[in-house]
Amino acid sequence: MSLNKQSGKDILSGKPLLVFDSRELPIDKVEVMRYLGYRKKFVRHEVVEELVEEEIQEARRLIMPQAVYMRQSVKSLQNGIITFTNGFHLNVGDASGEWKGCQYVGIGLCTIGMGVEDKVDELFPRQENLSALILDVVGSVAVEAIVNEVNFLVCHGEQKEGNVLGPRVSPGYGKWQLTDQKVIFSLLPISQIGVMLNEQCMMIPRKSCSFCLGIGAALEHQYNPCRRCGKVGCDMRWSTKKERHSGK
Amino acid sequence: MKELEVALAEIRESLMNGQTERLQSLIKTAFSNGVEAEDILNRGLISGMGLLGELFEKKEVYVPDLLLAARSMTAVMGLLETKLVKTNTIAIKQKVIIGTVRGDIHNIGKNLVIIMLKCSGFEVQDLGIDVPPEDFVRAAKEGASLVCMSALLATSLPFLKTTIDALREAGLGGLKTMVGGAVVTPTYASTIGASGYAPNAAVAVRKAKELLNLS
Repeated sequence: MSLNKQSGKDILSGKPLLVFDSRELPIDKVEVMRYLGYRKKFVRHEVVEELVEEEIQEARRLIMPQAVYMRQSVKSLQNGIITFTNGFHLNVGDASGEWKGCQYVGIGLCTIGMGVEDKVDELFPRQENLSALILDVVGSVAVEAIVNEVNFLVCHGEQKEGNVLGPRVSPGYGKWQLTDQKVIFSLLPISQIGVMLNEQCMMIPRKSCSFCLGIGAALEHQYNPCRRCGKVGCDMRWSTKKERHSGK
Repeated sequence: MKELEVALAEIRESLMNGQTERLQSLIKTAFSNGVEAEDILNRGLISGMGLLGELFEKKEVYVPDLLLAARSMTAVMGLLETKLVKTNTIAIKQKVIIGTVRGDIHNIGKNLVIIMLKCSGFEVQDLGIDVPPEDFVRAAKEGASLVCMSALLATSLPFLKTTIDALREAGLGGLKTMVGGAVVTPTYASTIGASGYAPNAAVAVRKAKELLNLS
């Protein structure tokens, strides 16, 4: 089940805006609990779990999941710097090694809008601290869910063109400076989803995430979203030859 | 004497489990048995928050557990306040000012530190987010024992130093400062001249007490 009307093919059609249905966004309760600290051993905590479920429902009412995505042709990739054919460049640092051989870089930005953080800012002064914290975490998980969905659509769109994806990275990861957000904001039609950058290159709404993906026919390091998915027999399943032979 | 210790132990346990209704009941019973409000606050509630903080540092409980306990504590403070005002008892007569430094708009970590400090008896003034150095200076001049600063991103990190420098230039160099946030390290804290560093809200309370010789 796709979360929006676009398909993997459509995402490469040049229409950058993607709007998702907040009711169907996979906001994973276990992931929220993990963000809250319940990591190595999943300690059951009924009060917290009930609140997590409540705040997931509240978030679905508050969020406006949207994304913009475009693919840029790569002119060169040297010393961690990717230069595009339109003259822009990104200094992605170490990530470029993972994208060796890429012909394109997919650039995306996802947001859930201001709803969650406005509500969180209301809850803290009212001393509803736990609800505020959980709602904030749910917002982070929701943004990540949109990024995963876009990544998934791109993956299948590119697969049809015979391409594979490299790992996904974002400004601020590793040696990639946050100042490159300005380049991403120049390349994408950000105004369509109402995200802004402040002087320190932080995004507003805070619950937003920008990312890049290396794309090419012969990338050494491939991204495979299906490795994390247990949905066996899915028509959309992306697998390497080795995995297909092993039946995973 | 033994009954007092049992009553305080039950209060601590209920607080640590975030059992608000049971905690209210235990406190009312303790009052009717003649237990002083000051004992309930210091040896029951604040002590319980301290124990929970220690468990948090050992990763045996998590942030929601701290907040559940904080919620219970806030809920029962009304029962204690009248009696504490009568005896002029304030747990810790120290004021902390806190804010996220200029350029940074993150507030969750800062808010957690505020909650834990308040539950440990500190008076806390929250300056908010994206706070310029001059606002820290102004608030500190109005009276504070400790200035806490938070920064989440590398881009806002330099403003920790800018703020500490501004305090020093304003003649407040003797004031204790504490820094924290995702990108801050103990080494960096030391480099910029901060008096202390805390990686999380529970440690922030312990460190604040150490810096102010309250341990």
